[in-house]
Amino acid sequence: MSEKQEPNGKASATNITDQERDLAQQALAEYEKKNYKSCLEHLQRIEESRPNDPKVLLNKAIVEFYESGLCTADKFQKSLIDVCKQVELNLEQLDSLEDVENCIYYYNYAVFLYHLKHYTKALAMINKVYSFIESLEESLAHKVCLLIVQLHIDTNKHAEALKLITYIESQFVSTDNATNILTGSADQGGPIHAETEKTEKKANLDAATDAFRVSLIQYRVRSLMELNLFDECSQQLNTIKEKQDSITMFLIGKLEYLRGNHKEALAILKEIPVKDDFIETGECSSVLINNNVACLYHYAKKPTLSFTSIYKAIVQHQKNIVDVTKPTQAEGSLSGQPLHIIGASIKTELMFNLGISLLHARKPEEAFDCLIEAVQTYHMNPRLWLRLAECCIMTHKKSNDRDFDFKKPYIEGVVGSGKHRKIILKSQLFPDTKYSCEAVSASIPMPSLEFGSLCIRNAVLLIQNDTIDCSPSHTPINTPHKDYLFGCIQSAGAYIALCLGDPVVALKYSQELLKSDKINKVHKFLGHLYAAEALILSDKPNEAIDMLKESNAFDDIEPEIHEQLRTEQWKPDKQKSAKAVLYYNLAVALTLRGDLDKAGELLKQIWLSKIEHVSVPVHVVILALYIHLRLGQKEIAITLIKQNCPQAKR
Amino acid sequence: MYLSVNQLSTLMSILSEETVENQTLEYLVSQLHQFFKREDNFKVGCTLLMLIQHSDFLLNQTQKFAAIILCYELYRNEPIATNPLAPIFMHLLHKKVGKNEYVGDLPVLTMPVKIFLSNLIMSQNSKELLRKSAKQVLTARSDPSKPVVNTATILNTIKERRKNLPRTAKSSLPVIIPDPQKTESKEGAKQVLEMLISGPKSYVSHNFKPEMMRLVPPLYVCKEEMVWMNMSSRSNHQIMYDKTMCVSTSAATEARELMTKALKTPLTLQQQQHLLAELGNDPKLVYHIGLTPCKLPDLVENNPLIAIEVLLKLMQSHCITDYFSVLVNMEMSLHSMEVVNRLTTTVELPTEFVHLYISNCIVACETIKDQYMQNRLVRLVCVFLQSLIRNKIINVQELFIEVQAFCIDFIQIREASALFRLLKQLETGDTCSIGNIAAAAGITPSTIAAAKDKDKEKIVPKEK
Repeated sequence: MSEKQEPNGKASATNITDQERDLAQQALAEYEKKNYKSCLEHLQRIEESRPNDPKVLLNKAIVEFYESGLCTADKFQKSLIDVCKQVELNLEQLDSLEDVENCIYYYNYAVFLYHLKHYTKALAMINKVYSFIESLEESLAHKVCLLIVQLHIDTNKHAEALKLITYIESQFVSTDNATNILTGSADQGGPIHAETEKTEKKANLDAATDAFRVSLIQYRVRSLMELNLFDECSQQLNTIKEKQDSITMFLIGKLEYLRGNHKEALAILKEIPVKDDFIETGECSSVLINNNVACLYHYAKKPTLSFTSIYKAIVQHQKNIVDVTKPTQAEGSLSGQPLHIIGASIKTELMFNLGISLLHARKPEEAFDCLIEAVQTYHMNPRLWLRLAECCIMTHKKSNDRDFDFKKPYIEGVVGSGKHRKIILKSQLFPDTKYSCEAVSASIPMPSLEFGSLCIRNAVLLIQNDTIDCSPSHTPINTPHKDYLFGCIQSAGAYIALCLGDPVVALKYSQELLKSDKINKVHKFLGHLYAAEALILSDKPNEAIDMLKESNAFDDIEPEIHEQLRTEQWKPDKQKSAKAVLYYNLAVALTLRGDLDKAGELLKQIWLSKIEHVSVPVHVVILALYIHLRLGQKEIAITLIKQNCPQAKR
Repeated sequence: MYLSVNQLSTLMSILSEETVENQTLEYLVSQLHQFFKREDNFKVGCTLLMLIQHSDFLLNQTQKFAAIILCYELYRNEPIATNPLAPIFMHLLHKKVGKNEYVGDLPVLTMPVKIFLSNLIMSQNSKELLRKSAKQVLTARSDPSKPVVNTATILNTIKERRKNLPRTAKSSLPVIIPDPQKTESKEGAKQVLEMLISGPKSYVSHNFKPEMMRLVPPLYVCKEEMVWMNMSSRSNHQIMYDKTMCVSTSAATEARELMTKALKTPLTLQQQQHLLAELGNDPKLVYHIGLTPCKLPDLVENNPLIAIEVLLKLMQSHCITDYFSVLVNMEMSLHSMEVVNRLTTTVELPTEFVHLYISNCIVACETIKDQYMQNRLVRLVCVFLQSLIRNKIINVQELFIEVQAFCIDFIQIREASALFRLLKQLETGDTCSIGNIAAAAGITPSTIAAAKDKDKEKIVPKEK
C-alpha cells in the first residue's frame, strides 16, 4: 500500500456532497433497471464535480460497455487499465493488489479474461481477490466465489474446486450463519439503515443466497461428475431436483448418460424448456438439447439420426452467433460481439461430435473435415488423433466386408471367344496397397494414408503421458482403457504402414501389439497377421510362417469380437472366420516359400469350413488357382475359376 | 496403352508368315530395330513373350522361332544374364529350370533349333548365323558334328540373379489365362491381340501373385466419447458496477482517519474507545480502514491495545498469517510482547509462530549491547516465557534446549534462575508443583503489567 494513494482515497471519502450521493443513488437505480443511457447521464454529472474519482471513472466505463451491448471489449479493456493506472494499480501484477478497495478492478478484469477463455490467468487473478473474500461486500463476495469455482472447474482442478465449495458453503450459506453474516451489518448497524430497508434487504438476500446456494451445488455436481463420483452426484442433485431449472436438468441428464441410462436421459432432455436467450446468456438450450440427443442416438447405434441432429445444432449455433455479431471490427479484434459471446462458441465441440458420428455412419471424408477442426483445439488428445487416422483408413478401405463377399466378381473378365478365349484375372484382388508417387506433402491434412501415419505418430507420443487427455470428452476413471487404446493405435499404425508399403514400420507397430499381454484378443490376432505380412514383404517367409503357426490369438477371441460387434459390423465376426483368415495368410506364406502342397492342404481345410457357412476370404479361390497353375494343372485351374466365378463361364 | 495399334500391327507384319518364310533373320532384326526404339524394348519383349506362350496367335512354327530370335536380339548388346527375357531361353533349352514354374504353352524346340539357339547365345559373333532365314534353320537336318552348346554356366548365373530377388517379386504370373474352346471364334487373332495389348487396360503388362489378406482394424469403441453439453452458466459472471461509489459513510471515514492517526501516535483514551466502537459496529469495517500487514508494527508500537483488537477481528481473514509473520518478525519490544502475550491467551496461535517469536526474543537478548537494557529485556522474556508455560500455551519440551541455554546464560538474573528451576521441575515430571514454583517466583498476571510500567520509558524509545 503506497502512501501516494491516500490523497485520492481520502478525497473520495471526505468530500462527498449530498448532491453527489443522491446522483450516485439514482445512477445505481438506473443501472439496476438497465437504463444505461440515463445512468450514464447521472455519472457524467458526478464526474463534473469529481473528475478524478476512480470509482466514478470505472463505473462510467462499465456502463458505457453495457450500453454498447458489451460489444466494445477493446475499449473497455483500455478504460479499465487507464483507471487502474490512476490508482497506481497494474492489473498484470497481482502483488499491486493490497487494498480491499481495489478488488473490484481485479474482479472485473478476471471476468473479462474468463470470457476470453484465458482461464489460467483469470484464475491467478481471482485467487488473489479471493484472499480478501471476508472483507468484500456480500454481493461481490458471492460473485468472486462463483468465479473462482468456475475457473477451477474450467482448468480441471476438480478436487480443489470441491474443497473451495465446501469452505464457501460453510462461510456463506450454512443457513443461520449465512443470514447472520450477510445481514450482520444491518442488524447491528442501526444508525445507518432504517428498519424497513432492513427487512426488505433480508428478503432479497434470501432469494439471492438461495440462488447462490443452488449454483454452488451445481458446480459441485460438475466436479463430482468429472471425478466419476456418480453416487455423490445424485445425492447432491436430489437436493435441488425440485427446482427444475435447466442447468440442473442438463446435469441430471448427463449423469444418466454417463451411467449408460440412455432412455432416462432422453426423457429428461425432452422436459427441458427451450428458451432462446442466446444474446443474453450466450447459450441456446435447443442447440445443447440437439447435441445431447445426438449423443444418445449415437450410442443407440443410429448414426444417421445422430449426425443429422448435431448438424441441426451446428446450423443453429452458427446462426445464433451471426445474429449477434455486429460488423464493427474496426475498433479491435475483440469488438463486434458481446463479451459473453466471444468465448461462448461451442462449435469445436459440436464439430467433434459431428465427426465421431459421421465416422460411425461410414462417411470418413466428411468426418475427417470435422475432426481436423476439432484437433486444432484438442491437439493433446491421442484418441482424437486415432479417430483421424481411422478416417484415413476408412477412406482407403471402407470395411472388410468385400473380402468375404463371394458374390462380387473377383476376376477381371473374359476376352475373345472360341480358340482365342482368354480369362483375365485381376492383378490385385483389391487395391490395398498404395505406393504414393504424388509430390504432395504428407502433412497436408487430408484423409490420405500418409497423413494418417502422422496422426498415428502423434497418438503414440501422446499416449505415453501418464494421464491421457480425453478432452473434450468425459474422462473415465480407470486405465484398462489405456491398454485398449494402445492396441487400437498400434494396429491402425501397422495397417497404414503396410498399405504404404513400409514393412519395417509395420513390423515395429505390430511387435508392440504382440509384446503386451494386456492387449485385446482382436488386436493380438491383428498383430500376428500384420507382423506376418510385414515379414513376407521383407522376404522373410520362414519367420512369417512360424509366427502364423504359433498364433493362438483366436483361441478365445469370440467374446471380444462380440464386444466390437455391438458398435460396428466388423468382419471376421466369428472365431472360425478369423481362423480362416489366419490360415489363408499362412497358405500364402507357404506358397511363396514354395510349399505348394502344404498350402493346398490348408486351402482345402478353409474350403471345408466355407461349406459349414463360415465366412472365408474370397482370396482362397485365386490362391488355389495360382497354386494349380504353378503345379502345371491348367485344366483344374480353369475348372476352378468357372465353378466359382459365373463371369468366367459365360 | 502398352503398344499402340500401329506398333502392334508393325510387329505382327514383321512376324507375318510371308516375311518370315522369305526373309533372313538378319532382315527381321533390322526391321525390328528400325521400327522400335530402345525404350520400347521391354514392351515389345513382353508382347513377343505372350505370342510365344499362347498357341493361338502365331500358328506357324517358323513364326514362333522368329519371335524367339527377336526376343534375344532385343537385348543382344547386354550380357545374357541381365536380359529380362533370359529365363525363357533357359526354359526352351533345358525344359525344367525350376520346380513348379508356370511357363504357359511354350513350344517344344526341335534339335536343330536348339543347336542354333545355343550357338546364338554362346557365340561372340552371331551375325553369321542370322544370315539364314527362319525356315532354313527349321528345316536344317540335325548335324551330329554340331551338338547343343553347353549353356549351363549361363543358366547358373541367371539362377543366381533370381535367387537375390525377393520371393514376392518372382512369384508373379500373367493375368491372361488361355481358355481355348472348340466353338468358332467370333474375333480374329488381331482383334483379340489389340484388346489384350493396345486396349485401355493392356492386360499383357499385368501379373498377379499370392496376396495376404489385410484386415482393416476395427473402430475404436468408447462409451463416453461423444461430448454431452451442459449449460455453462457463463452469465453468472458479469462485469460488476462498483456500488460503493460515493457512498462511503461518515463512520467509515472517521475510522479510517483514526487508524491513520493511530499509526503515527498513541490515541487518546476517548479516540481509542471511539475507534473500537466503530469496529465493533461493523464487522467488515476492519478491512476497510487501510491497515495492511506492513503497517502493523507502527500500530503495535503506538497503540498496542487497538492492535490486539484489530488482530482479533482479522482472525477469520485469509491474510491473518501475513499479519502474524510481520508481528513475530518485528523488532522486539515490550509492546510487541504484550500483543503476542494477549493473543496467545485469547486465541490459538499456530505453534510455529509462537516458537519463532520466542527464538527471536532469545536472539534479541543475546545480541543487545547495553548491559542495563539487556537485563531488562531478559527479565521480560523470562516472565513472558513463564506465563506461556504456566498457561500451557507452549509445550516446553519442544524448545527445551534453547530455553535452558538461555537460562544458563543469564542465571545471575533472578527471573532467569526461577525459569531454570521451573524447567528442571518440568523435566522431573513434577507438574503439580508448577503453579507453586510460579507463585514462589512471584509471577502473577500483574507482574507483566508491573514490569511494563517500570520499563516503559527505557525500552520504548527505539533507535531508528
